[in-house]
Amino acid sequence: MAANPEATVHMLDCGEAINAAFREEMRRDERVVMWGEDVITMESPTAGADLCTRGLFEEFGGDRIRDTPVVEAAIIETAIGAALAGLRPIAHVMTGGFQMGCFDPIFARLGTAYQEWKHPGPLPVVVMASVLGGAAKGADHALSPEALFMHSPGLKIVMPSTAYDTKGLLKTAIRDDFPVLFYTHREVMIREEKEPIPAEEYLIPFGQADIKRPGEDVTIVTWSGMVLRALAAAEELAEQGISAEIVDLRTLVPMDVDTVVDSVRKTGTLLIVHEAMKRAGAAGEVAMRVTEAAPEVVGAMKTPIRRLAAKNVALPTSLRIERRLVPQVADIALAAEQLVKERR
Amino acid sequence: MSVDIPEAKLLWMYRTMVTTRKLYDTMYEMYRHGSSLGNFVAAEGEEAVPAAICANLRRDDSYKPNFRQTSCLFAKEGYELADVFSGALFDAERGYLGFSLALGEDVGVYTGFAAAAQMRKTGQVCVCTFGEGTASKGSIHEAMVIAASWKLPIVFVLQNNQYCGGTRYSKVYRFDDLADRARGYGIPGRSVDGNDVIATCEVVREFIERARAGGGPGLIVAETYRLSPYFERAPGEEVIERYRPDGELEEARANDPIPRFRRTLAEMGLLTDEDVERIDREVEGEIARAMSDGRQRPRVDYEQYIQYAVAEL
Repeated sequence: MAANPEATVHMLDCGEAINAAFREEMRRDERVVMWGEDVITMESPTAGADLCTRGLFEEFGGDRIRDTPVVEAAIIETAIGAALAGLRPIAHVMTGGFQMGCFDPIFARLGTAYQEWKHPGPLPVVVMASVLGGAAKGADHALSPEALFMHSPGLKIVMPSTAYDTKGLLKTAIRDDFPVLFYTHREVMIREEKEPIPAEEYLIPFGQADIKRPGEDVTIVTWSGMVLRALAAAEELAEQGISAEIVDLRTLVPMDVDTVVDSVRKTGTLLIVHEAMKRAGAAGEVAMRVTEAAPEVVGAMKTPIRRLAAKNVALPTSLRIERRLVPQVADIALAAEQLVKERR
Repeated sequence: MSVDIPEAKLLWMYRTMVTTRKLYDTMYEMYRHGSSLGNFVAAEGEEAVPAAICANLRRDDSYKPNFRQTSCLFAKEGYELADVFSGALFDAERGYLGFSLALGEDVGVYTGFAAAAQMRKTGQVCVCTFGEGTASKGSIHEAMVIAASWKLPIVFVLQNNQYCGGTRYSKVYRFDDLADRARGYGIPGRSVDGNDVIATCEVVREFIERARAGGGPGLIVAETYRLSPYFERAPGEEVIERYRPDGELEEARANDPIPRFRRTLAEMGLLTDEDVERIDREVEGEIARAMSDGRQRPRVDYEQYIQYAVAEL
């Protein structure tokens, strides 16, 4: 970060960081266009921030940013066609749950098009959606669908946990020549404290995990909104004298396995935490990737790999019930504490 | 008979239809002899529609034929017969973005091509064809909603060959004229005898010109008939198609668009019996040369295929 923060840093929340990323990239490259439901009208395409697209229509006009009818499948498919024709579309589909209404276009068209359709070339599409966890929004709004789309061969998947990461990763996504699914999280979007964002341009490469809190006793690997809960849990653990290392994967595809392995080598433990349901969730993939990459490290672990994720039940519209289903700060702290006890 | 289409274009359409039919014969022989795998699908009896469309397209326009007529791309400006045999058809510069065998899921993709053309003001038009069975898919509805909403330069051509697999369309749809659907989207719709290449060409021209001039999308329903079976069976497997009523196929053959157009051109004094024989011979020679050329072209190899794999393989 720059030496003089007063001159070179803006204090932004996540929505403002997204707005800045969109604006910078649309200014830089006139091929960058975007559309989706209410991206102009409600200024709230990622459902959780009011500022994501504010002012973009006024600056770039209707040939660069458009509202669509409620046609999730067509939003994705038209983005694919426009990308093949030479544009670089950003397609907004509001929530991860709504992506079930355009599952084929995302999984099978976007995720395989440039391979299966014998098109060995670029397909620059970014799909933006929010995961609205933690507010009893129910399955259609709060679904965290990363594991479903990780199974598609051609999709990169980004799930940041800070405004700083969101801006840098979003700019990378927009410049990527291949499809990227970009998920914001409600709990990240609604944070009141703003973050220092360099005025100077920066990009964050995909496939680089970030250690959000260094620690010695237990490795907690997580991503998206669950990073905030893991950090809160680490505070509680610190009061008990347990030092937790929080590894934020930031991108699920590509996945930075090396950083996880390094952390596990140090702590001898691994707890993988995610908001999505446990069965066939991404934690299984993380565990197996670590095992395949460094069997000797896993063999020397002091406890088995553990995962903490939502119970295999549909998300409710009751916060009282959701809190029992999805890992909370206390659940993460307890799971980490148990691992450390087992280790001793 | 007065026809507002230049003679050269009429004869080009005839030759295109003959080539399309003979391509099926050639490709079926290849299939029978194991040169190509998968299911072999043909669309004998539907040759007039792609010929009428291609007669009205620019090189940089986009055209998605019906899935069983992909080989018809040879007729689009910019493509040639050898491309069909090499299999390297995908080329956004020439407006072909592939197709989806999950039928209908590609219509929105072509709609996106039209969106890009509109946003960049290139004057390009897209013609996207699908069958009456595929027309039930929700993705097509969504594509037509957004195309109408944005007034995109795209012409949807619903090619009604009467049968979706073995299901006659009248068993599914509760209206006679599928073009009535256009009213629901607020776009122009028109049905045309898709076995009459002249009538089809005129409607297609009108709809393309309107789209190119900024008048938005339209829906053409081309009524035709699939003489071919749903898919050709492997050698030794008998084709049994119980779904066609007795006598229907024979009746449909009498309305085959190729002999029908041949008679029209003869009546107009544009085609003699000698011309017909000459064109047949020439087309057969062109196909043989194209097959030889196309099959010698380099194929996509494994390394190329995997070159853009995301992250680990």
